[in-house]
Amino acid sequence: MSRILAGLFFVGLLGLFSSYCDAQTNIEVDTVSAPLFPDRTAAENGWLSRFNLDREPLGGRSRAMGGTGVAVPGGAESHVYNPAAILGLNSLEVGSEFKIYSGHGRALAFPDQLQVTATDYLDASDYRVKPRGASSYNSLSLGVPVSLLGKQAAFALSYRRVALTGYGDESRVQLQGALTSNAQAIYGEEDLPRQGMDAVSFTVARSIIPQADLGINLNWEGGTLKRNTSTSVAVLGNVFASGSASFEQNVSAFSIDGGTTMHFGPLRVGGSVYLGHDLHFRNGEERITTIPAAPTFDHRLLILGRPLDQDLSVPTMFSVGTSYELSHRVTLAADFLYRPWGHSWITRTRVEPFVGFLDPADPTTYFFALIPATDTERWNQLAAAGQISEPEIKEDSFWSGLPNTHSIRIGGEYFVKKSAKFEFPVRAGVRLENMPQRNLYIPSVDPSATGDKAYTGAIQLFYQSLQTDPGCQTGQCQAQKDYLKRMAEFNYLNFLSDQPVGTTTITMGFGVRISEWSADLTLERTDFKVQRFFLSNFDPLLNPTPALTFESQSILNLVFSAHMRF
Amino acid sequence: MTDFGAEKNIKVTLRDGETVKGHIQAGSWVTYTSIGKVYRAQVDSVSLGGDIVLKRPYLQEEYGRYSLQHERMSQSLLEIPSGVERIEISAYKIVQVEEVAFDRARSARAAGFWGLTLFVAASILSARL
Repeated sequence: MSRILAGLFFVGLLGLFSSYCDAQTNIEVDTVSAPLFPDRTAAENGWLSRFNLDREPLGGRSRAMGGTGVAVPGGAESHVYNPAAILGLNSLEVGSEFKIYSGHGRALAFPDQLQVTATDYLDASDYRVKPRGASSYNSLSLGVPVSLLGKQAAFALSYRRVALTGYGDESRVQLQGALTSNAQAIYGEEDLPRQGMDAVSFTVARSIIPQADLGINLNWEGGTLKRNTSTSVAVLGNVFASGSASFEQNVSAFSIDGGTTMHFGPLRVGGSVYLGHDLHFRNGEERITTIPAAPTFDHRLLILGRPLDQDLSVPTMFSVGTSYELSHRVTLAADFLYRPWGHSWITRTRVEPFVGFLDPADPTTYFFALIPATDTERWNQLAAAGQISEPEIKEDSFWSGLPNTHSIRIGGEYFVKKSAKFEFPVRAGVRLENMPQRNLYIPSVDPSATGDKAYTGAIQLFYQSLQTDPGCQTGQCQAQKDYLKRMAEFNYLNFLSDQPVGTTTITMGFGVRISEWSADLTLERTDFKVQRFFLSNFDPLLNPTPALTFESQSILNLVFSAHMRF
Repeated sequence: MTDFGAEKNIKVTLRDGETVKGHIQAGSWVTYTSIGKVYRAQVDSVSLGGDIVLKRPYLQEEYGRYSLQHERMSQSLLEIPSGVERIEISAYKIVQVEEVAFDRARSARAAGFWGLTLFVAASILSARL
């Protein structure tokens, strides 16, 4: 979750009004890092969002036709859907694509009150959320039609954005209560993902028989996922406290796609297979600057984290599609993409929890750390103390928790004008699909956990087990320890039910071709409803209660593409 | 009529409306527009008498508005089949040879395309370097 900072503001809010002058004093910064704040993978930390795993549609024509392209002959960009489809090239072609996006959102449900402590609540109102606007390149491509071994063939080389890190948003909520001396405080949070994963693809396609073509893509994928989050608390326009978080990690992969197109007069049928591979997440870096702590506002933490390297397996996916040329002016197309993300696994270094109590008589004085196997010194210490079973196993594989996602795409194209020198097509389409996002659900998930917080409740259960089993040898104590480990690995939350986020995308656009030059403009609108945490914090030292919101969001993409034929 | 100005961009119009555009010199690639079809072809030779021979033609575009004419011509000897290896243009068919002047609309389109392409390239480089 990019909202890892959100709940930290509660600490600052406690003394907000009594300490205004103190807020201006010098702030002492303590730098802390693992193991006090454990490292996890990007997936476990929630940094992977709903939009950064699936490949984007590409090409003005296909994009405007709802993202259909498996059986639509096209230029170099068509390799994204089906490598055999690039046989639509009939001259050397250079293309480029760029997009601008923005959006709007609203909360469908938000709690009236936020719980700060066991007894303190703040009234919450006027919750607003707005997706941020930004821009991104999409592709540069080169396509060359050739004759290969006596048959029609084509090569394509492209640099393209496979997926953005995500779409950012801004959230605001008004809080009021005894803790704020009944004054109105505005809590704001901005989330800005940047960059993403790109690919260099080399495609070759060739006609096999008059009715069938084959093609293959070789994709070298790589990039940096970046995300910045900033948080602030303001009263009467004055920002009293602020914090920030940043995350980045490199991602790379190599993948192969294969595809075929069969044509029977005006009818075309196509299919593609995107072979399974691993996404390698490496060299992560995380920095969290907390809001200065109340009541003196003179002390904050700089938390340095290093997200664990991980490999996320991408399952083999496939797509099928068809297109039909009703006349030389009208083409209809439909695609289906099957993406079984539910078969995706994460492999990373093994981590083990270490729970201790500063005061053995007081379970509230707990401290907690996740020790990765790469921390050899501490790992060996825990192993020597009998805290780790099978310490020689230093790698862990587990289900990624992602749901299967599918995509149905339907589109059409109509040439208003079509002549030797000039073409003017209009296009429209619709795309129904879901995104591989983990939906988070608030615990308490262990019905036997006591206390109003699942995490502290689980700590107490573990503590009680230790009273009767100091060596934690029994199954019950081990189960409590495993439960704590799972919570710690996944941000102290349990992912009870992972449901994909359903999206509906409506597309429309037009193109202009004048002789060797063509340009396309496409407008896409994606609507979805999603549950999210707000004011959430997964730090065990602070442990506030997250609030679950239900939001409706729309994202608008305006895509420009241009081609020149030589 | 026989001087095609090899260094110039030339448009040659034939008496049946067909055109050849490009640098008319051996080895250059030119655009040959026939009825309903546009070919890219390489100039094989240009004789002193003005005969132009094109080789390695490939069909670049075909237009539906000429489908009837094309169908009718497919029955005639005038059709140039898509699989031909040479196109011979006799000098006596040439009715006009003109230099292709600066085309503002075309230049604007090219500027738009290269502007977007360079912008995308710069965006990629700035993100990756």
